[in-house]
Amino acid sequence: MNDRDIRDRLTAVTRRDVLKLGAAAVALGAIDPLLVACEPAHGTQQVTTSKTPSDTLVVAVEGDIDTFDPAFTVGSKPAQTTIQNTFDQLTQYQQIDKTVAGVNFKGVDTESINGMLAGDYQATANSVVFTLRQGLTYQDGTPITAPLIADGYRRVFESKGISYFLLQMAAVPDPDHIRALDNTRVEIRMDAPNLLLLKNNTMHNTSSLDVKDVRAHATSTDPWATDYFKKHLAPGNGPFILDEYVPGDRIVLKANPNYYGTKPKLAKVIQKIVPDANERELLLKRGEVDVIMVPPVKDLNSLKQDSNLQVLTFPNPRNFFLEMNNKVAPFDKKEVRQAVSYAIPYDSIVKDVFHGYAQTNRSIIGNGMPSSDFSFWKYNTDLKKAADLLSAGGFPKGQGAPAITITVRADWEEAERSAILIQSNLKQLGLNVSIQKLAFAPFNEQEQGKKLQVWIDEWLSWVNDPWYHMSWIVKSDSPTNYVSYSNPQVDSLINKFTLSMDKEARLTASKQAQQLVVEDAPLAFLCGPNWNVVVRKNVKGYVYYNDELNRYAYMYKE
Amino acid sequence: MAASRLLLYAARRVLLIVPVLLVALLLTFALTRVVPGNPIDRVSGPYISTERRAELKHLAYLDRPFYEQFAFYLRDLAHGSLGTSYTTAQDVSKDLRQRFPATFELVTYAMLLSVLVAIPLGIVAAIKKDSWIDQAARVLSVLGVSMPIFWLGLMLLYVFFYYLDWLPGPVGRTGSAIQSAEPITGFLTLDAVLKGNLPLLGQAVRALVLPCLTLAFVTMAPIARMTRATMAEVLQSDYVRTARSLGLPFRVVVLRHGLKNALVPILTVIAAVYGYALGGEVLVEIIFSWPGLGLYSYNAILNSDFPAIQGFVLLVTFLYMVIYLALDLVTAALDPRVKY
Repeated sequence: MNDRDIRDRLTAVTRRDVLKLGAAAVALGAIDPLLVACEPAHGTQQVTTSKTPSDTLVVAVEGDIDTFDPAFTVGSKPAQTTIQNTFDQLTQYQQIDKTVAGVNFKGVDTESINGMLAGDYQATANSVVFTLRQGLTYQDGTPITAPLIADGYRRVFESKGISYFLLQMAAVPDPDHIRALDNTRVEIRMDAPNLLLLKNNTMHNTSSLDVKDVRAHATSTDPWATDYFKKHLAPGNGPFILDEYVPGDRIVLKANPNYYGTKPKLAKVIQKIVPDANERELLLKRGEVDVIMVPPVKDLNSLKQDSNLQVLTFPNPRNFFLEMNNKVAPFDKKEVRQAVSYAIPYDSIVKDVFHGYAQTNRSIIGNGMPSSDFSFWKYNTDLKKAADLLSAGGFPKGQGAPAITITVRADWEEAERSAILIQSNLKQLGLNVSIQKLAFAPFNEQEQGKKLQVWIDEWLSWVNDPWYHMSWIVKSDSPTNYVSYSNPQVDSLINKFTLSMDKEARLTASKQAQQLVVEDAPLAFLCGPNWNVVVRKNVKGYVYYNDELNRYAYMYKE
Repeated sequence: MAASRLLLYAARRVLLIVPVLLVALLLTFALTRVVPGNPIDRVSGPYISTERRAELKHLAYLDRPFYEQFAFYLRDLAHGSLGTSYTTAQDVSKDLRQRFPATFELVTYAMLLSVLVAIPLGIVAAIKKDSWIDQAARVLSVLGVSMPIFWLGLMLLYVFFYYLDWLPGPVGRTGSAIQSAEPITGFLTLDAVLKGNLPLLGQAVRALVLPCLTLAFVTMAPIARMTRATMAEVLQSDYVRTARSLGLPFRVVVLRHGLKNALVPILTVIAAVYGYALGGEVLVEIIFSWPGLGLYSYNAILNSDFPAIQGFVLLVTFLYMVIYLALDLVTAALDPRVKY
């Protein structure tokens, strides 16, 4: 074979080559129609059955336990839910059928408080005396007595748990204000009578641990065994017992056979840790789990079309804010904050970011919280008014305004998408706006250090009380007033009415405070996102509580 | 004599682990302190006074200079403590002990699968150079290194779990309707065999299929490529040609003379991939909700959980060093030219 023959051989396109190429093209071309043929037709659902036993509820939760100590729970809802279902508190809210923003659901009346561990309570001028029910025990059989409850509260104070802050807010400054009158009666004295104490006592943070268990694990440097109980759930007194905990995998509760109250219908609750929201959705659709927490908002409308599922959505007073640091330019000027408030595309955020699963929010006090009043609102989206106010603030057409950085948490899609919409409108005013994404820890650090210029965050007050709520967010000396808002009139109202017993005066004054806050615009009220839970069709009994924690004692499967 | 030299070498390498761990620890310590974010703010939450937050930072030594913090950490480490995780509130050593079996089991099975497929594929591709098998092996290798692992995992889940319902969903090591099992070794498949618990074995194996396939597809690629490249080179060598011309069976030539000589670089790649997979298959664990080291480290980084991050880095560095020591010893055993 000579060189020319070799060259021809190498460059010649043979029939075999053409056939191979053609077969490859056909194969590639066939993939797409094949995939389309495999896809279920739009609008049709497979009927999928649940794969879980009828007396077991499997809940896909978003995260793991961060602590088992009721006095120290903060961020992990699975941890808080576990504690809520294994411990009862002195008081609880009355369950009622509610309607908020046109949505009917089973919820609670946060103004009606019943006894829980306490069969009865008597409120006098400066104290409340709780009388415990007969026959109460912890899950190991230890009787629950008034001295045990008082010791439990002492632990909350002396270990400086988060809940002691809540008790101090209700004018209970130290554990000496709490004592057992006898074996069945606990008295809590307040320095000033107020309506917050009973509400604060419904929260899982005030759960009392059995002092015998505390003493068994106390050390010389840790007399209240805080280190031990962060890692181990104490024996509780609630409708469920912790059966098994596999870190990173599952938290399993089983019904407490010695529970004093109505026995749960479920024998077991398995909380499966599935960090990704889309994965949780897949599992629910396939019947592998019965309930998913924190479902992807973008998919709620399509999930609603699935006949095997029900989307439970609860309007609530949660606030989704654009927070503007009132001490950092240009947001140290009220006109600029008002301009930004006028520039926000509120309807787009509700419709396009939250797909309708959010409420318009027109006040610091959101829909569903007593005294919520939207009549002072004036910031309907109006770029012309925004431009005029920006000019009045000294930055006509944005000239001379410092660069603005909107900070959002990196793992929060709704915050990022809202920031993009806001950025787009602010740019039309001539402002130089960028978006910065931070991971959870640095975001937290900078927010709590008040180092951010403008950012998106949300807040939900577990106690559904306007003064409790405003004390945290807009009171000038509050550690959570991250925007550094300061208005002496608002402070004065908060100081006067937080502990007031005059219900009517509290509601009236709240409206006054709302008007002041709306006028000052320290934050922009983007919307009130609903609390959403998606369940299989046969799951019943979900009751919405303001702390957004599941109460499994009321749930069952048909 | 050779054995004693090898033992001496192994002992030197073991001693080297300590300074390497210290350097890795120092670098991690420095990086975590430089990057914004601290765990106290996350753990203490918003319902806390500024004074109390400062007190908590003081108790965690976070208000001390860097070198003091490092000294305190080394002191605790000398006492066998890796600290307490801020995200789980558990001892870091306990966290790692609980999660390591999940990762080790997944990665080991995935690597076994990769090796069982990649090496024969590489050998055949080298023998039948430029054939359709060789082309297919090349395509698979390219896909393995270029395909996003998270996409592959999600696609496998969609097809085999959601659409076909053949395999369990992303619920970790066992199905959602689990059977509680007290661990013996922590390796579910092994525990199930030891207990004679066939249903648990079935659950564990079924749960392993998709994450193993996902990881194996990616780890297979470099192994197959290296096998093909080294085998192709070895099969061209004089001694192989001599062996063929002497009439030795082809199988003997390829496996005994070819593969044995090509094995050293292949094992090096396997060791590198194994070490990488043990420390880095975070995405697989996230997609399949696998409660292993990857997910643990991912959460630790997001929450600036310094003790957990440091503990994880220590463990992975140690594992890397053990793997590479094992590789060197095996290499010495395989290749008589290697002397330590």
